[in-house]
Parts: sequence; structure tokens; C-alpha cells
Amino acid sequence: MKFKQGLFFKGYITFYVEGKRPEIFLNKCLAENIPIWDIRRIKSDKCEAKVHLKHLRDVKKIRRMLGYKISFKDKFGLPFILSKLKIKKPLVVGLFLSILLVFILSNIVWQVKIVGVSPEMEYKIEERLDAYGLKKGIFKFSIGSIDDIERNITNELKDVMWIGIEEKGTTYVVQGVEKTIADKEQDNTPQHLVARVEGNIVRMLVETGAPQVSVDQFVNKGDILVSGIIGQDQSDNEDDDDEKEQDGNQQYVHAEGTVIAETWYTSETTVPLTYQHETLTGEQDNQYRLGIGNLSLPIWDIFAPDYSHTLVEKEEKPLYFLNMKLPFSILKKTIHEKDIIKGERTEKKAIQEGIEQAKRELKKHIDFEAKIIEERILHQTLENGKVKLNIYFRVQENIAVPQPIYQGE
Amino acid sequence: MNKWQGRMKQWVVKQFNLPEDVLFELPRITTIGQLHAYIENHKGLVTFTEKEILLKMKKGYVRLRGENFVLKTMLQEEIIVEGKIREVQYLDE
Repeated sequence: MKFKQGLFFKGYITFYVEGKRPEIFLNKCLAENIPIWDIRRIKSDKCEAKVHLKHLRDVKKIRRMLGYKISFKDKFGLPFILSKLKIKKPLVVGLFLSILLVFILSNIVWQVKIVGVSPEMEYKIEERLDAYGLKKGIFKFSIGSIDDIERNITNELKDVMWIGIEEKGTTYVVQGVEKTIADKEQDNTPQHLVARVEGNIVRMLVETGAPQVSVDQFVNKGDILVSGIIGQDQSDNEDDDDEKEQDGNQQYVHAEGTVIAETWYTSETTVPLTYQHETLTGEQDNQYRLGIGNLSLPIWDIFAPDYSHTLVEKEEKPLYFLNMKLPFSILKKTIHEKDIIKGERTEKKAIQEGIEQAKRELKKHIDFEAKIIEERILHQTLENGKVKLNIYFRVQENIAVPQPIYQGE
Repeated sequence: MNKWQGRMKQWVVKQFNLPEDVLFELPRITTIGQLHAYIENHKGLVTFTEKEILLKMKKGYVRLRGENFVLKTMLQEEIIVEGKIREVQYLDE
């Protein structure tokens, strides 16, 4: 029954044949190889039958030949629906275009609002947002991860404490919190300089205040290096605030200066003799897919790149119609090429690596102006293919930190 | 000539064990209960009413009697009749 398949797409017509002995008409159809079906005798001279749209012309030819009367009862199928639509073509096209337009506009960023910061800061943030691709008139799904943008801008702009980006339909609201520098105001409040860590003083440069220690002196953590109290009897009354106030000769100042001292650190590191680490080569491939529920259809770049090791990043961006989230989304898959570097090192190399590692670790904790003068391995063991090191560092750094003086009020 | 051809065909059918309806163009009628009848190898429709269908065969006619006949399909090689079939009758010329 092959000819009865896909009837909806082919379309068929139900018609009546009227005339004497309709069988002759049907026989003629048979002879011409026109498939007809669902034939019903209605009256002695009338039959109902169905025929494919494409055979309508042949049926009409036979009618002309034999002189029967044909009338149409019903039409069915896609071709008829389409031809009906054709009459209303402008309307249909217009409707389709308007839906498309609304859809496109729903997925565009219309506004980026920056709130909570000064105009100057607003400009800076806007500049950054532009660089990360969050600006007016851009497709929503082309924006990278919002969390990343937030984090990057917060890191890049020193004067910003925090940035939050919120998506509200086609508007992005960027909220910023500026760092307020309170130190400036307190510039003149009295303060001491105290030792942050214990150490041996190497150099001192005191701008204001009375130095309490001298070069080559050992200081403990919390010792006052430069006092903010100048005047008579200061050495006696250092810790006694009440008495100081009564003494007219004494003055409170904002002690300033640097105290460079030698300090010591020990750190422990382990370095394996065999190592393996991964680096990205910089080669990458972007694949886009249209996601529908759990399914996804490839849109762009179907073929997987020829990388031996890969790091895959996935991002999903939903599509919108007005404010409605559609069940469709754009999936972006970034495939990075990865290199795995494997190797072995000798014990000597491992020790060097260990020292470097410890230094890097140490530099995170000390001032960037600090200098490491000496490193010495105190203890070194080799077990389970790992070198364990105990390293001693001598560092020259500024150990002076301010400590406000509270005057009893 | 025709007779000789017929004998030849009969011999072929016998030797190769072929179904007769293929070579002799005999009607092949399959009925499913009283509901459907598939008629193959027909030579045309003579009469078609709700109660009776008369089909021309190579030799003679086949008549179907029943009620509410509808021709579900009409092709050169087969006809499918739907309705309530009461009888199938072979008529000689």
C-alpha cells in the first residue's frame, strides 16, 4: 500500500463521479494506472472516490474523454494548506518576521546599568565591561561567563572592592562597591611603629617619631620601634597613657618611617623526582550547539579537533522570548589543546626546584620589597621518590607596622 | 499455437514447482473473514455497487456478494474490497 503513505504531504482529493455506469470511468483509471481508493457507490449513477493531487489532471483528462461529471467534495493535505496560506502570504510572512524580530531583540543586551559608584569609576568599569564583551547591542549568548567577568574586573580595578552583575531580562545591572580610603583621614592620628615579626635591625629611617631601638638590636614581635610620643619622660611612660596626658611636655605624633630588619623563616617542601604537569598549548576550538532539553544539535564546527589531550570548557546560555526562558539554549564548548609534560629529575635538580618553590611560597607572605639574602638547607631526606627539604631563609624586610595610640577620652 | 503455449507453461509450472497464478494469470483471492477480500490478477471492474462486485478475469468472471462494499484500493494488479462478504462466485463466460 505504498501509494497510501505520506498522504498528508502529498495531498488528496475526494471527488464524485456522476454518469451512467461509473465503473467504466473507474476501469479507465485502472488502465491509466491512476491509484484511486475508498470508492463508494452512492447512487446507481454516482460514485465517491479519492485520488492523489498529482493525478488530478489525469482524472480530468479521462472525464473529458468519457464525458462524466466530476465534482469535488473535499481536499486534504499539506499542499492545500500551503496554497491557502499563499493567499495570506503577507500576513504569514509578517507574523513570522515579527516573531523572529521579537526573538532576536529578546536576546540582545539593551542596557548595561552601572550603579553605586562615582562617575569616574563608572567610566572605568564600563571600559572593562566593554573589553569583556558586555555592552549594549550584543547577543546575550555571546557573553562569556558572568562570574568570570565579575572576578576579573574586581581583580583588575584596584579601587573597586566588589562588583556584582545581575541579569534582568535584557538589562544588565552592574553593582560596584568602591574602596574608600580611610587612611588619609587618619594620617595625623598618633601612632607607634611596632615590629611585625622578630628580627635583627639592619637599617632605620625614621621620618617622625622617636626611635626606641638601634641598629643591630634584636627585637621581638610587638616591640615598639618608633614611638609616637615625643617629649620629656617618654621612655618612662611608654605604656602608661594616663600619665602622659598630664605631662605638658609630651606630644603625640604620627610616627612614620621604615625599619629594615633581618628576619628568619624556615619552610618545608617536598619535590617528587618524577613529575607530570599539564600545560595548554594555546590551540583551541570553539563548538556551538543548540540544546533542546537533554538533546543538542550541532550548529557550528561539528568535527572534533585533532588534539591528543584536551581540556574542555562548557558554557550554556539560555535563549529568551521576551522574558520567557525558552527550552532552547546555546551550548558553547571550548576545547583547548593540552600538553602533558612528563619527566624525571635528578636529586640535585629536585633540590634546586625545592628551593625555588619555597622561595615563591615565601614571597607570597612577605613584602614585595623584601630581599631574600640567604637560603640554606637545614635538612634533606629522600624517601618514596620524593625529596623532602627543610630550608632556612634570611630575609631583609621592613618590619614596621603602625599601631594607633589610644588617648583616653 | 496458443494451445501449445499453454501446454508449455503447464510443463514449466510442473517442472519448476511454480505457483500457478503467476504464469496462468489466475485470480488469487484472499479473504480475511468476511471483512476484506484481496483480489489479484483481475482484468477490470464490470459492476460495482454496495451489494455486488463483478470482476473480469482472464477467463470468466468473479462475483462477490455482500453488503456495504467499499473499494479500499483499486490498482491494476489488485483490488481490496471492504464490507461484509457473503459469497464469492466464479462465473464462466
